[in-house]
Amino acid sequence: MLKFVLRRIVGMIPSLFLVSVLVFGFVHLIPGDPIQILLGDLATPEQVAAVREEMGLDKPIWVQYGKWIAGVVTGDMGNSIFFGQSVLSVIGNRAETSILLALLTLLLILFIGIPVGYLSATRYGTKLDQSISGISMGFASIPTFWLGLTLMTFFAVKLKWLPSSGFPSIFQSGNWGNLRYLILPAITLSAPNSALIIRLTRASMLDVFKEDYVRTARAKGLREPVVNVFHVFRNSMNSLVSALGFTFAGLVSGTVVTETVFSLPGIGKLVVDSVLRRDYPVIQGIILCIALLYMAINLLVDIAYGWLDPRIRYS
Amino acid sequence: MSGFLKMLRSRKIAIAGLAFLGFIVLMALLAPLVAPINPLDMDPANRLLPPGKGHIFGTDNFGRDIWSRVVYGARTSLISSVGVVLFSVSIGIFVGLVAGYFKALNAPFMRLIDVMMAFPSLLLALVLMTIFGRGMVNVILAVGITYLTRTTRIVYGMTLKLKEEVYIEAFRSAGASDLRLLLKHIFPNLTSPVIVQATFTFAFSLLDMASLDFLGLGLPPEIPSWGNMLSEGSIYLARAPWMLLIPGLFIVLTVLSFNLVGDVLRDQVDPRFRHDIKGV
Amino acid sequence: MPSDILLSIRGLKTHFSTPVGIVSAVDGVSFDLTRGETLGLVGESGSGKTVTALSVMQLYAKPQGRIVAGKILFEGKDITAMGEKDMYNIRGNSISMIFQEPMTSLNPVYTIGRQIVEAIRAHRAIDKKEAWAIALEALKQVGIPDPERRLRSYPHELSGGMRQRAMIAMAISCKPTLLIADEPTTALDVTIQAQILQLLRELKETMGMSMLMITHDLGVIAEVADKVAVMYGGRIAEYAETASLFASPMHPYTRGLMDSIPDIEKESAQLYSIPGTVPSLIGETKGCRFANRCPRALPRCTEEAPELVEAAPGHLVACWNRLGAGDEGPQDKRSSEAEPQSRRMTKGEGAQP
Ligand SMILES: Nc1ncnc2c1ncn2[C@@H]1O[C@H](COP(=O)(O)OP(=O)(O)OP(=O)(O)O)[C@@H](O)[C@H]1O
Ligand SMILES: [Mg+2]
Repeated sequence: MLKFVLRRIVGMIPSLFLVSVLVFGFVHLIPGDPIQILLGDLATPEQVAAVREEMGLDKPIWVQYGKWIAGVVTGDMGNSIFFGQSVLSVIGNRAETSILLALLTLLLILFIGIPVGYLSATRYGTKLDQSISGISMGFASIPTFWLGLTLMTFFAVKLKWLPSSGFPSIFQSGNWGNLRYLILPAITLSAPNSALIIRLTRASMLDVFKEDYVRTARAKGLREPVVNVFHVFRNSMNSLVSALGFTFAGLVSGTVVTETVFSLPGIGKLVVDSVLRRDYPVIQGIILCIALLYMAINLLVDIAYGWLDPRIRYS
Repeated sequence: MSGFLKMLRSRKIAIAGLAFLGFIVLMALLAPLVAPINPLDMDPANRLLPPGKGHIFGTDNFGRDIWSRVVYGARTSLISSVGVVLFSVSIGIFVGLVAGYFKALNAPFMRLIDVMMAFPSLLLALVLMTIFGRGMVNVILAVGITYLTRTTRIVYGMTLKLKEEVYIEAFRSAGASDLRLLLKHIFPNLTSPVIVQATFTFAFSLLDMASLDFLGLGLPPEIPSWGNMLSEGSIYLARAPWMLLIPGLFIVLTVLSFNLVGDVLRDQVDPRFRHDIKGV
Repeated sequence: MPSDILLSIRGLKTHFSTPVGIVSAVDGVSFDLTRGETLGLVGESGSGKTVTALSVMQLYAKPQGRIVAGKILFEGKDITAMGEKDMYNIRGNSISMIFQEPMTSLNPVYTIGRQIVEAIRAHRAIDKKEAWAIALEALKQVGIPDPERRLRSYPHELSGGMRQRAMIAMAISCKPTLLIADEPTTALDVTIQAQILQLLRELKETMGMSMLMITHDLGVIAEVADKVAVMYGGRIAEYAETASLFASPMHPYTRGLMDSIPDIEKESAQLYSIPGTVPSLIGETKGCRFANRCPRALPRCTEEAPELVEAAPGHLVACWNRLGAGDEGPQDKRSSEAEPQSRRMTKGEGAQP
């Protein structure tokens, strides 16, 4: 098992290299001079040249890349143009909101998506199944920000049940009640993703229903719920787990929009703000972190796969 | 195709979807006829009018007619989605075929595609938009690139499977050239799964482009598009909720219709490939 | 009805509704299985053997599949009238079933032991430890070497033959009165086939079970069956004692099946096969379903379906123009067989709708 994981990590090196090249190259593809943007329009050409030399931007591109990647490995991704702080601390300051939002959303997705998908699959072809399929497809067709704004209009502006925007840190205040600021965002974010998990759970369970070993399980005299949980659902978990990477990507895209709608001080909003402010080091840092996170999740998926399926575990 | 019709009959809701899409397309084509009021005409005296006589969907913060903007917005949205589909599908087919068919190209191409998938679609589109700048063609390119990965992977996977089929082997040993095999024998097998994928791409790119507009990083604000309308509507959501509600409903119904039709189409596809297609 | 009849099927019809129409997979099947005996159910692929067995287990695909007529009396009680609750107690307990595909019939994510224990504990109120002991005993009984270790193995670690033995162990772990074996050897190597058949025969004797052996291979029938039911197009064509059937087959289809057994001694250059293909089971059929392929077909055969009647003591046949003693059968056809590729009745050859 350990060997398997190590092999996978070594196999990821070319991908990591490619990711770093793409992320590094992105700044150089942007039209215009980053130094000029950094210093503003009033800077004289001499000042620009001085800063360029100071930052090493006059060196050949591969030297710059080497310097950058050396920094990244030691956790130094440069400084934010807007904040003047290090990129890592800028991102770190925003992490609390995004992580809490993600956890809350994940909880909702799992506790809605899997049971509802299970229900739909075990009641295949019934009115209930058809309604679930219809509703989940509806939710998958709603733009996240529109849903967010609509929920906000209704529950925050009209009914005033929940706050409409912002999120005071729990970390600093110690007040867990602040979680209520994240309820509407989490619902918004989980709606399309739950729909995805519902459909996925249903589809993969329906596939397993056709397997011979399910018939064997029934022929043993096992009760239907036992067959459904221990044979059908258990074997459909492989496909569910393999969709984790896909779900993560959807979650990130949704977070960008949701945090903007609800003005949450998270990483998603930071991306949008940084793009509008042309704060390239921050954008660079965030996309690098997210790409790495995605790859780490896929590694976990592979490990989980082996854990779920003895055929892989022992080969 | 007849199978598709049969399937449609058993799923009435998909017929409704198809009808709605027909309605939207007609509306976009006949825009000047169905919406006589210029969507750009401002009328400060009649700002934020609720839906009613004269303006069936009301007016926006500049007093522009919302119905007209919805109609012209349909044009913009459909054209950009068609652009995304054409771009991502044509490149996806090309790269997928080549990478799947020629063994030496498998690894480098697919590694690149895998790495691209590490960047979530909206995030990638955002970043690309900072490089390209706002504009219709740029939006199509940016979103098109993010959807390229899915089509490529499907085509790649199918090509790999098809290459191993006995009849393809037979043609090869009979001396058929690579080009001929690719175009005459492999490509025709790809069409229906790719069409299904294209339907889903259409739906989701519409959503993504609306999100870009909303974030202020898509089409320039002066172009009437459903996303831009929502973006403006979000500012007035308390005073003029119809500004948000109406274009939103059009997006939801259009995307839903595409998904419904895509679902029926997918069930028609060869079961060997059904699993490769990622709809919702 | 004499009480030594364990399973009695009368006029069973199991139909499936599909997008292309109603498939009458089983369309009026009747036979008896005597306690302690082995009944062979033989027929080409697609003739409805599996659906018949699954009807007994009430495990045919639902809700498309439905028993539209007939009775299945097991120990005198009608299974078709039973609810799911009663069926839970029958399946895997008094009636067990083993399947054709040992490779896919075991759940890949659980150990053999866990899967057998699961079967036992579904029917016996005992703790895990006792159940493991019974499972171990069952593995020993089916002749799996190193049974302690094998209990902890996953299905993929076992060969096809071993998996089929494990399936059998699971099936007998609750000491069923009836064992249904659906082509248990088809997917296996020839040498292993013989071993598995031998094992089933021994188990039947030592445990006092009855057995319904489904196969498309008359060779298997000759080896294990006391009585045979020949099935064609969802109906029973002929039903007799094995010896009687082999000595004097009465249905032209049975005759055709026998002629298509490869005869090693004769070294005939060509293998005889019944010309034509299995009929479509979609919709209603008038007359005998074999008529279009039958060398002895009469005009009447396409008009009216023959009933299963007792033509000789204990020998039932459904045919308007049955073979009498001394009939030659389609010998002439054998020489005139023009098709270069001879077709055998193997899996997947039937015309599936
Ligand atoms: N769920 C189903 N839906 C529709 N048709 C079915 C279904 N199950 C079986 N059938 C049809 O019933 C007929 C009989 O099938 P069955 O599996 O009983 O044949 P068999 O005699 O066991 O053949 P084999 O030797 O291939 O196992 C076939 O034509 C099959 O297509
Ligand atoms: Mg069968």
